[in-house]
Amino acid sequence: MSQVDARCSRRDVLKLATCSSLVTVVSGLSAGCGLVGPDLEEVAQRMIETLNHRDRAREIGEAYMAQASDIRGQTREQLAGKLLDILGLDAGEMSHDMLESLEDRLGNRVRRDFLEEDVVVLGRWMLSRTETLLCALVAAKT
Amino acid sequence: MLIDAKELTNGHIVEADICIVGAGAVGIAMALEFDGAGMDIAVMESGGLEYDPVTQSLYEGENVGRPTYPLETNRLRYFGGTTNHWAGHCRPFDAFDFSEREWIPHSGWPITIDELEPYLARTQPIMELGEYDYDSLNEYARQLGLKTLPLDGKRLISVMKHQSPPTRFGTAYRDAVKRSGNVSVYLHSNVLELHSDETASHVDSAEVACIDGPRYRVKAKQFVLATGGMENPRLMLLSNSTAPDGLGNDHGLVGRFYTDHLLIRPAMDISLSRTDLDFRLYTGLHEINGGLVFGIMTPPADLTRREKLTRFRFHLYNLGPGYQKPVGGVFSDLDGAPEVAPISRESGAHIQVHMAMEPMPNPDAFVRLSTDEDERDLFGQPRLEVNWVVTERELANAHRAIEIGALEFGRMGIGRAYAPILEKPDEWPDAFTSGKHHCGTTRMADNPRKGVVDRNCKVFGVDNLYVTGSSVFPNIGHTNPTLNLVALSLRLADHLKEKSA
Repeated sequence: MSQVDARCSRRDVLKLATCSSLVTVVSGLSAGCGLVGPDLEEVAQRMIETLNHRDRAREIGEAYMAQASDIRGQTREQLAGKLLDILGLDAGEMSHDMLESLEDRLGNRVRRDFLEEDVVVLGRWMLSRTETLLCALVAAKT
Repeated sequence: MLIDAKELTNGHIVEADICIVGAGAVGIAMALEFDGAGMDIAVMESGGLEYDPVTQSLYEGENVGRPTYPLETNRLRYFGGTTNHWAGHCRPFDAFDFSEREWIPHSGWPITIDELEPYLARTQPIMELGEYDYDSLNEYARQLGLKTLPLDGKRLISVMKHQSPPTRFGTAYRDAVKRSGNVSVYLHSNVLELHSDETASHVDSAEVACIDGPRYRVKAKQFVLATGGMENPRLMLLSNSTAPDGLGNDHGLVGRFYTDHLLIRPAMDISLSRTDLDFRLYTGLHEINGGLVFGIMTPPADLTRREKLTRFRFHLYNLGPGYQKPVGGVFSDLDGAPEVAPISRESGAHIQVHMAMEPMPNPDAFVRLSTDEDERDLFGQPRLEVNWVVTERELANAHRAIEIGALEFGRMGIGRAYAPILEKPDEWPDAFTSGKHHCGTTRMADNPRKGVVDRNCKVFGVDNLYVTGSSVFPNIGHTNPTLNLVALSLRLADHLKEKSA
């Protein structure tokens, strides 16, 4: 239980409290909380799934890693954590439901990058910082 | 009337109230303003009614500054002038273009848009354009069933250009000139020099020569130069029998401040990340209110003030095969980041963005007479040396302008920008060139130490010599000059009528 306590957010507990049976609660605990909350590898995987052309994304990511010394050599987990930070999300608070919102959150963040000029020039392309990190995620080692 | 000056005799003297040198857009439009006005107008045109390579060679000169187009290819030297090959894009200067901007040395006109606006409206039908309205793009788009892009108005705004057919003045107004009882266009008439009184403050006559033909003179009460941004200063500099430095050149400003639009075509490619976008308002021509219009993008005045930039504009061109068609499997809510591999420009859907940017007025950029004895034209007169100068500041301006465009296309979720200048901001890209809009060489000012002509286009220090056309523009904004220079000439026509009355 202590593991559950540590990784299950208050919101998730409240959500679970609405469930009508203990079975459901137990099931919910195992699916939505600690034992279970998505780890960074799952987060990374879900983020990558938002991309349609992963082979091209990997090329972009490799080019970015070659250019940006602070990104070079980072693992997928590290980059996924960085992206969660950018999105204002806490890795420890993540739930599976939240994974579903990642695509929208990333899209909004990308547009905000362009508004705030948080961009990367890669070769002759201007890309948002967030999407470039996302591509780095594809290229990163696990 | 159209008169072939080759049929005149040597020593002939033409007498007129006004002698206009040049029968391009300005010369023809201005001359026809006097049709039936009870004044004799003599228009001197170097060429005939058709292109002639020998006459055209009189435009040859040397680019001694940054390389640009050969001078004889920029303009056309026959009846109708350069309108015989112009593209027809029209938009008035904005009010802001006339203001002095403290971050742009030598900026500012002595007149305001309010003084030009009535003439802009009058110019509209002369250029075969629709109703004079450049402010209603959104309404036009609605009527056309098209959409403006959802731009952040703090960065870029959509504005309208009108498209002239384009009007070829030499054909469109040939009959009107022929019919006129008081406007005479003398073809094959090259003005070699303006002869003035002994104080060089009053022009008495123009010395004219035909290639393989007679030489004659024109005596007139007023003289108007309307031969463009290169030849206007050249003729003033060639008129040096009395004033050794040239007429109206007491302060050495004739030919200085030569400017031209800075073009990057293309400035960037936009790899589209969405398939539901409609750029037709920008990439096509649309008939409305009796004319053709299309949309362009430009920064609001506030942005140029805030970032200390000159004005610029973006034109969109559709290049992708079927940008409006679904592109299988490439749509992404992440706006297509994976669509833009840095290694390959291969893309099934993209648009191209062309940029035109206002240059900074620069006294170090000039046109002047060559001192090289080998650089003489058919009449033995010095050809021009042109020193086109572009500065690091202008390069920085161009880089920032393209950055702003790239940011905005990303923010709108339209696509990602590919632009050489993003990678190498300290180098002009290969696609950089000049706009062939020769301006500034006889600039307008309220003070003879700052310009060559006054607010009425009269040359300082010469009581009957006027210059009109783009050479008097002290600043040129981002827009094409033709509509504006014709309007300025109508204004000059009114001024001369009033003066005559």
